Amino acid sequence: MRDPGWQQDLVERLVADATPVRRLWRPEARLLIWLLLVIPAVALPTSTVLRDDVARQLRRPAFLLEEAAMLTAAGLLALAALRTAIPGRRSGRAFSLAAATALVLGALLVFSKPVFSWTADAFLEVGLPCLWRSFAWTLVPWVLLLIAVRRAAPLESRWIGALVGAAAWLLTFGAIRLCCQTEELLHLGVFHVLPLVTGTLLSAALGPVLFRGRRV
Amino acid sequence: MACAQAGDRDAYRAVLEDVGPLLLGWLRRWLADSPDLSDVYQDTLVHLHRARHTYDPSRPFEPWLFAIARHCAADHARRRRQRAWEVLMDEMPDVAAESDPDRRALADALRSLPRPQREAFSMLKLEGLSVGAAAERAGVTPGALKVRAHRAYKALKAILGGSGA
Repeated sequence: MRDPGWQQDLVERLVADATPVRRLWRPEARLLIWLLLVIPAVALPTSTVLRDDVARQLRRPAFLLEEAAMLTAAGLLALAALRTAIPGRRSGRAFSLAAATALVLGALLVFSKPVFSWTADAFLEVGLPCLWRSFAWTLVPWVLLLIAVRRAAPLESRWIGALVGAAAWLLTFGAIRLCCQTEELLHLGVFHVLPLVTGTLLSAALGPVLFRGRRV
Repeated sequence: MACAQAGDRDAYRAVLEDVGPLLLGWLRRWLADSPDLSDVYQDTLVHLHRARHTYDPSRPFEPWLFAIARHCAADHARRRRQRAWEVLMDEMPDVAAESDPDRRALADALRSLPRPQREAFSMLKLEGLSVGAAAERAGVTPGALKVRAHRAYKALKAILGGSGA
């Protein structure tokens, strides 16, 4: 293949199509914009259904630590998604370690809750609003982050889809914990953690479809 | 490239002509002397064009370029392996129809292998790549690829031996 005619033709076609492009902002700046948009979008519904004991919970170090860990993980994973959507950009080892630490810490705190015995009716009655809120409140952060990622060039569509899903769901997870009064393992596992995991997997599975046409 | 992003066509032409030899050298290492080299090269240039807004001039150019090239080459290799696999699987039912239980067992055994092992087997035996080229494409060391291939052969032997095939 010694620079045949087609190669020069291709170069000329690409050059002819070379209109000015608006360079992407830095991932950190785009993360900030995402946060500025989604925090009000999630905070608004959260403020309408805050748990009765929210003031007391916010004075508990374990609760604060859990919230901080989940929200930090959400921010770091959103940043990882924005970075990974740029060819040749990957988050470093220290960054991945920080995100993993936040996730593990948050998970440990969630799974350290006691187990109650429930009747099926009570379990569903208490849990379904949390499930519904999880899906409804995640929609805006998820869609906005997808749009931001699609502006770049998401090569690893499944992985980026998973990062986008995890970031959006973790953010909502933190918000819903300010509304849900049930500090119980089964409830948190089924109606908070399971939707988070399912949503992340779904987002990963949808990645190739969602980024079709934007993938390079 | 920064000038190209601003719409300077001469600068963009210079970039595309400059990356040609660099890209070809890199793709040759990845694809060996595959007949598809031209296709992947062409794909990479088209994709570079579509992703040009993502390049940050304050960062080195090569990692950006090679990330796109690696993706195009891997995508191409995946499609090629898929095609080879489909061809192989298409042939198997015909053989099965001739009531050859050994060949049918081989097809089932191949399907049951874990993906990394099946890919190693596929690259070495279906595509006929060298260990070095296959390892580079899989993103592992030649030693690791040999281990995967060895495990694939061992698993096939155990499955086929166990089934009496």
